[in-house]
Amino acid sequence: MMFNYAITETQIASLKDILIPGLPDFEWTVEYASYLSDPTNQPLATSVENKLKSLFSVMVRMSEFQIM
Amino acid sequence: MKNEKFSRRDFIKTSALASIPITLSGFPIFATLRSSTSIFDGDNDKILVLVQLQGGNDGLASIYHADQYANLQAVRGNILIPENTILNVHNAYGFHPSMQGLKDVWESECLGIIQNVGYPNQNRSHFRSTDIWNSASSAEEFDSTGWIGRFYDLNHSEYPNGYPNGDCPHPFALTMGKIVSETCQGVNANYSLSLLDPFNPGTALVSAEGNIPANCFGDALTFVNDTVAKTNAYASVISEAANAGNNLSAKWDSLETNLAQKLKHVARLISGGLQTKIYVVQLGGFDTHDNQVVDGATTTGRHDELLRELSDAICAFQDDLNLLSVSNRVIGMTYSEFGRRIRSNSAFGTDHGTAAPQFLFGSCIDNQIWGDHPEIDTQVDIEEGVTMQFDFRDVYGTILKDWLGLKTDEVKNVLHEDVQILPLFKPGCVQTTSTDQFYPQKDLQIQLWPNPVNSILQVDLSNLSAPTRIRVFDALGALIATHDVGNLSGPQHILALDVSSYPPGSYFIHVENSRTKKTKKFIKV
Repeated sequence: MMFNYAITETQIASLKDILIPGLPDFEWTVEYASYLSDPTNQPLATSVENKLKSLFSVMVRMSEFQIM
Repeated sequence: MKNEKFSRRDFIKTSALASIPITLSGFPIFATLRSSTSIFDGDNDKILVLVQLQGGNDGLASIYHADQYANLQAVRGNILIPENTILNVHNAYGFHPSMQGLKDVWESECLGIIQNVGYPNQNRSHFRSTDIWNSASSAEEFDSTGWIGRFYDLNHSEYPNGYPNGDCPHPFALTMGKIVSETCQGVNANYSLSLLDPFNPGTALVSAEGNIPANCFGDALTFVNDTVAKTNAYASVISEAANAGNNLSAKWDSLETNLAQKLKHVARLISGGLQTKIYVVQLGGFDTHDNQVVDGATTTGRHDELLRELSDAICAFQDDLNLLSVSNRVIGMTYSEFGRRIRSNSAFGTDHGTAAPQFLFGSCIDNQIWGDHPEIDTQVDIEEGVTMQFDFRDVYGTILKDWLGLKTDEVKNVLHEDVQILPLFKPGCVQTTSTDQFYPQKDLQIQLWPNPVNSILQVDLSNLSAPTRIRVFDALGALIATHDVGNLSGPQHILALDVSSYPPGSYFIHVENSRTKKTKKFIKV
């Protein structure tokens, strides 16, 4: 979606490590679900939002994204 | 999802301002010279290496105490290692058998262990608890800056504008990896740069590493990658230090793990004269809900591999620092967002818990085991974790003050008002002459009765000689009550605590003053 060419598995793994640093994949589901079940919990919302911001901030600064 | 708003111009703009400057930061190459005092008063040349164990390390499977082995058998028998495989370390204390490296560091008197470190109202979300540890906020607050970031904000709040400069030509902090650590987030920017390869510091984040197609897309990609490499203002000082530095330990030879590689780079950069004070390395994978151990071969499995990677890398790093003659300038500290629960689960793993031990290493670290080994109750609740004895912010505060040279009021500014300084360093190694230091009364026992209790719990505080704070935590680490009591010197002092409104279950009394931190369990029926 954000890249014209498919990025490599290594790059996908690196991006996962930004969204869920050092954690197994299912923990994103757990963390996001706990946010959805308690959306007014501001610290938790910010934690989740910051992970997404980091991910997108890195994606838009990848060389591949610049060559659209 | 392709969004026209993300243009090349925005790319350049965010590179300069983003909270994650990473290696492709847009810092000016020819920065103006700014008159500013050198880092802090005096010439503090101390270095701190943070080792973040991502996912929540199981402290009870890392450090053992002979008195508790039988009880562990009752509550986590399916993952418990055989008693005869435990490495004997000190008195009744032992390590997991994969931790021979840390045992060696202990025997060279360069290892300190703080048991049961956490914070009141433990949060069991990875994201949230990591934020708490990185920002050093309380569980109730949200702080968007990191504790190292606030440390630098004291004197460098304009960063990154005007940096690097003649007074501060070197990066303040380096995260060895692909993304900067939130510990270093300041008001304006993150003080750390991420560094994958010290010999080639401009390596683009998440770059394709050789998988560049041979077409016009590939040509353009190479151009952007090269441009990124050249725009890192700190690149030359980093690669100069990497080239000037060295690694001398033969222990690195047999280690091919990620963590070893990162710490090897850190040792090399330090020996090469890089003045960076903070290095952050990360080791992921500690979220061992399942297959923490192999069924029937409990000394093997994922946790075994992680502890071995951690332990061997720290051992080689410490050996290298000694051989490079820089060991009196460097300490390291591990931290993890939480420990695991006391009871194991049926998937041969453990779930998110509460407090856990921290390892400190370095030739200036006092070779001690601080705190009590957790007493394991064989009837422990399924959800219960290890209750905190030390607040992690006291550990941070001690490092900021005694190691990084902040004054007490500055430490309080960076952390919080009630921070206590612990005696974590070898006498004579640091310039600490503080009188506000914590002197532990090691053998103090807190007497409680009746236990189990139905309505009024009596707490004998008569051996305490300073104003004391009594806190009650439930089995999940939530703070239930706080009582401040005055100076208790003199006649016997007994606190009568009305617990009649508490739901039945396990609770912990945490007694804290300038001379002691103790935790004692009681049962409400």
